Parts: sequence; structure tokens; C-alpha cells
Amino acid sequence: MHIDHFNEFVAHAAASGVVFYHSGHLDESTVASIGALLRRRLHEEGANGVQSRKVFTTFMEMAQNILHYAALNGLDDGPATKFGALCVAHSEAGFEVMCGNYMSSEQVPRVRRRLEEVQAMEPEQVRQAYRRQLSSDGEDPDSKGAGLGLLTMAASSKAPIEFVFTAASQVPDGNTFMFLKALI
Amino acid sequence: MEELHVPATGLTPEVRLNPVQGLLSLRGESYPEHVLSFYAPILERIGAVLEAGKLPLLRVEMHITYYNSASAKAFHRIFHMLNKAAENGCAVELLWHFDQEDDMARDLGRDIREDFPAIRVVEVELAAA
Repeated sequence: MHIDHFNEFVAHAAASGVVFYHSGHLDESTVASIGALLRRRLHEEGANGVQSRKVFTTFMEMAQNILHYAALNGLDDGPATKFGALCVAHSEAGFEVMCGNYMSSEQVPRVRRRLEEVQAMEPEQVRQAYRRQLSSDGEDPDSKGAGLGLLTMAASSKAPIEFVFTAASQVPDGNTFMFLKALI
Repeated sequence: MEELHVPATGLTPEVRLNPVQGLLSLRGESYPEHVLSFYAPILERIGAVLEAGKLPLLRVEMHITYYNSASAKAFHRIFHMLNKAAENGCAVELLWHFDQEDDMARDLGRDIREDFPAIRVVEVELAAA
């Protein structure tokens, strides 16, 4: 990367209100460290107690989603860690919490349906769905958290969870890149 | 049966289970990646105490300042066991501590009261940190 491009990259991040950004391999100890760092950054940004809690909650659910569900990067033969991108930005609208990870393209229709279902829910419906998931004993092997993570994000976000799937040419065979966005 | 004491880590709460005093407490934060590998042995010990003990009463202190959704699922399993014990004659009192700004934890306390009617739930609202 040319140093001028890095300059532009930093300026663009600042203009977009980026509070925190990480892109790379994730494991449990990395998630714990960046979680602690995020808490300090939110304090510096003047987030109040409720915002800080909801941003952290959403961020951790997104990070653990990546650890549990993301397809392995597939780009190298390195250790079996998961690749993901996590970002928190501060705008006039509030704190935007975003994540991105590879997933198997075969899973896309199922995940898209679930995201659309949750998008269409009113807050009270999200709460009731959360409650049902919590007491259901069924362990769907494809869904280790029984969808609780997504419902937790939806309950924390003041706007429906946004999502984008990009099956771009740079994505390894059979994989799709998925982005999620919550607003706190 | 001996007391169980699991010290807190950055990701997991301190857990105490004292069958003699009839006390179970979980204190701290709970967001391990592998929730079941942390909670399964604890669930097992609670189950053993409840089965063996003929405990007349059990006081449960839940003081979890932050938990992830998978931990909430583990808590639910604990409450399920406690509710069964309460139905079988053990007086179970649950002190559910929550931050006054934490709506989800407040709601969860109310849901526990409705879903597990044999447990006496005491909600303890804490001033914001």
C-alpha cells in the first residue's frame, strides 16, 4: 500500500466516524481483547451506559457468530481460525455496529429467509421470539445459538438489522460474503 | 458434598455452590465462546446436589453484569433444574440482580418468574454503573 493511500484510508475512516475496525482472523482470545478495547473506545466517544451496553452486546454477538458460523477463509492452509470483519462507527444516527464474514453459498437462502423474518418483526415480536428460542430445547445443529444471537442484535438495534450478501468474484469458490448492520 | 468454587475469568463468572449453606451464586460476566463446556460441569454439580441433598432450601444469587445469548440459554437450563427441585419441596429463592439500564436483563427476570412459577424470584435493581 502506498503511504498516500494509507493517508486516504485513515482520513476516510475518520470521516465515516469509525470508532473501531478489525479485519482478519478471529479466535476467542482476540475477541475478548478487542471487546475490552471497544469498551474503552466507547467511553472515549462519550457513549452513555445504555448505548455502551447495547453496542458491546451487539458487537459480541456478531463476533461470536463469526466464530461459530463463518466458513473458514479457504484462502490459505493456515490454522483453522475464522476470518471476519467487525466495525463500529459513530454517526449522527447513533452507533453503527457491522460485521462481515464468509459463509457457504448453500446457506444463503436459509439465512436470508431468517433475516427477512426478523427484519419484519416489531420490537415486542422480537422479544417474544427471543423468549420462545430461550425455552426451546430443540438443538438445531445448523444453528448453535438457536437464532438467539440474531434476536439479541435485533432487540438492541433501534432499526431493523440490515444485511447484504456479496457473491463477488474475489470470494473463494462456493462462498458468499455476508454483512450485517445494527444501529444503536 | 464439598463446596464448588470456580473463580471468575475475563469471560466467565465466579461460581459458588455450597450444599451445606444451601447457596448457589454466579457473579461477574459471562460470554465464553464455548458456553456448554463452561456450564456443563456446573449443571452436573447442581443436579447432583439437588438429587442427593434433600435440601430444605436453596438461595440462588445471580449477579451477572453482562451475558451473551448462549449464556442466557445456559441460565435457562439452571432455572429449569431449580424449578423441578422447588416442585419437589426445596424452597428455591432466586435473587436476580440487574442493572437498571439493562432492559433485556430486566425482562429476563420477569420471564423467569412466569416460566418457573415454583421458584420465588426476587428482582434486585442496581443503580447504573
